[in-house]
Amino acid sequence: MNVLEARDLAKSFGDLKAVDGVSFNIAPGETYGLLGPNGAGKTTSISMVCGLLEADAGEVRVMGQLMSPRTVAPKAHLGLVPQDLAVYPDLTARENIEFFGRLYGMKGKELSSRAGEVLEVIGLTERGNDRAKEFSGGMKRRLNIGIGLLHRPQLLILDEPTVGVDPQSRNAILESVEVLAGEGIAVLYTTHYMEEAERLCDRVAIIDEGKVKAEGTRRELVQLVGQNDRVSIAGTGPLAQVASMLGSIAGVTEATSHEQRVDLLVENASGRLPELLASAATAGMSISGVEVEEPNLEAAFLHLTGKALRD
Amino acid sequence: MRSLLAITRKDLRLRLRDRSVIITGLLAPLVLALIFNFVFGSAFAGDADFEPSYGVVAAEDGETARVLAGIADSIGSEPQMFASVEEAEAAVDAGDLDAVFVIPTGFDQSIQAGGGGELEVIGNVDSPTATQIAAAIASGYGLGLERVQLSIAAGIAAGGDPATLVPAAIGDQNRTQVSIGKIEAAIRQLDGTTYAVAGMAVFFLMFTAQFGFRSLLDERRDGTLARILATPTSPNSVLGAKTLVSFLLGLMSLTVLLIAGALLMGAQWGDPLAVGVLVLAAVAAAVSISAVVSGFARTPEAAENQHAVVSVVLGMLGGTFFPIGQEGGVLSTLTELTPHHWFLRGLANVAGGGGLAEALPAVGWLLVMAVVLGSVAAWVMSRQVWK
Repeated sequence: MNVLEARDLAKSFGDLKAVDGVSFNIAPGETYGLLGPNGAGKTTSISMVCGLLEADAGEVRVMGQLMSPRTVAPKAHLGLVPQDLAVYPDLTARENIEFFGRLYGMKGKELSSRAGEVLEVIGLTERGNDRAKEFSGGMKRRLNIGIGLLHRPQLLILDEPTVGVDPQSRNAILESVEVLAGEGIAVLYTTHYMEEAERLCDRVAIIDEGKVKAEGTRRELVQLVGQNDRVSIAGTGPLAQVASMLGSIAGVTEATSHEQRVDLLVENASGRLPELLASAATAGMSISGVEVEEPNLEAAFLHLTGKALRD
Repeated sequence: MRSLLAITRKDLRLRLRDRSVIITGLLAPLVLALIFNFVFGSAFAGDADFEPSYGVVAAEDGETARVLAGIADSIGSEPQMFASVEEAEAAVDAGDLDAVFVIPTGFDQSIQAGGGGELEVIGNVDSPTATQIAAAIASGYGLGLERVQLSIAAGIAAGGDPATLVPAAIGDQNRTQVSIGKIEAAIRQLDGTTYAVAGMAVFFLMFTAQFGFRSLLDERRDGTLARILATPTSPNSVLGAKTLVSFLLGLMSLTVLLIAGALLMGAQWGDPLAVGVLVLAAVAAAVSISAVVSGFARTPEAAENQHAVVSVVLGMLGGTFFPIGQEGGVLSTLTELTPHHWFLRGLANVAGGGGLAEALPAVGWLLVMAVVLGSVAAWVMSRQVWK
């Protein structure tokens, strides 16, 4: 059973169609990305998924239970990390975590123990009894995430959790998400940072103007636009002949020689790399290094929406 | 219920931690009550030592002079009798008397002959309350005389003997006047200190009772409301918690102030049970008003401003600064629309020796306000949750 099923979601604000027929499913342990520019409809979609906003059309099911603003039970399966900081500055980190824990029905030693674990995960154990208003922006962000983890949700929803975060904290947040995904939690992750989606997400939906333009793994999305992996073999020798010979190998769509390197466009480079390197060596090339660059979502996004991601 | 209690606990912790409720709910009203008591204490009617001094100007020793002197004696010090208006005015101007009743020459004869007359009251400008009481006595005596005349006229028309009808009717009139004077002047008043403490307590109650609802708007702005609603917490639990927080803070503020007023300033409240019921009803009404005001506000700042305006207007109308209701007219009607008025009236009834029964009319009106405005509040506040 999918942890989350969103079907044909639609939401308008006046004449503006913020979300228009968005559908997606998330399986247990899967990290699913909603990738789109600001104003694409990501947060509106998430608000409907969390039962904070009534959908004009469509439905959301969490663990098979219908979600709406009037329902309470399915929300027990969710952990929400909102885009903007949603913590109480005058409460300590521990008090913040424990307050939301009580709303999820946790209490007593279980709550206290789990709050300690979460503080450990987000690296705030030493600052647990300090008020949140005394924290740096990155620490507040980590607390914001920690609150969402407390009750071990089956679905963790992170709405642009790294916006405005310093690189160090950002990396810590991404690592936390990777750990959670490794523990089997389903994650819905919205971002307009391409590299985050590429790093974290098993599947990605490219969303723009309220519609899902395409959905799939990174490879599937890139294949939609027909791009191949780029392989750059550095070395010396008869590079022109090497390029010519490699270009004749099946799966290599383009081969060009440069000063001290040969560049190739290859379908599924990781599967063909041993053959390519062996052929280059046979052709007389002395290889000093290899770089493989898979096609990225940036190009796919540009292709699908006609605009750069940060437009 | 679990979520309601968790939110309530969190809100109370935040409020007590930022000290706003301590300042607004306790310190400010106590300090202001002290100031008001110091500056205006003697101006409030019904002080424990309130003993108005009256005089009577009468050219002859008639029935009216005897009656008015008797009433004045019953609610104040022994009245002085004057033969001329000039002497009486001099005594009033010198501050020796609060007011004098001036009975025109031939007044009693004119009344007994079925004619008219005019009683005059000359008051000391520094004794407005005592003068008002004197004017009320004179007015009431005049009304009584009209009844006497009607009674005698009816008796004569029915074949009665004027010689027996007149003394009997005048005797009835005397008893009525004395009785009214005692109740109005001696029992149903708070002394100056008690009035100042009660007025400030109920005035600041309106500010304290807004804290819970104001926090709802704060949470909506800060995103924590959305986060709460994304947990298995119903909107009704959120509203219930905010209402409970407002109620508890208001109750704490009012209770502590009444106790502090008694211990520190000597305020006298009367029957604890009756006062307790009045306090609960007043807090309920204040919470409902605060909820309505917050329900129509778009931002926390707007809510605070609207609360300030409503609280001051209701406080002024309700007589928390001065007993405006006795001035009569439209203001008297408006003042009865405020919880402040009913709270103070209820306290006055209880402080004068009354019990729960004497407090019930005020409690009833306060609860009516709480229920009616609470119904409106439930609707507008639920819209606030989902904005």
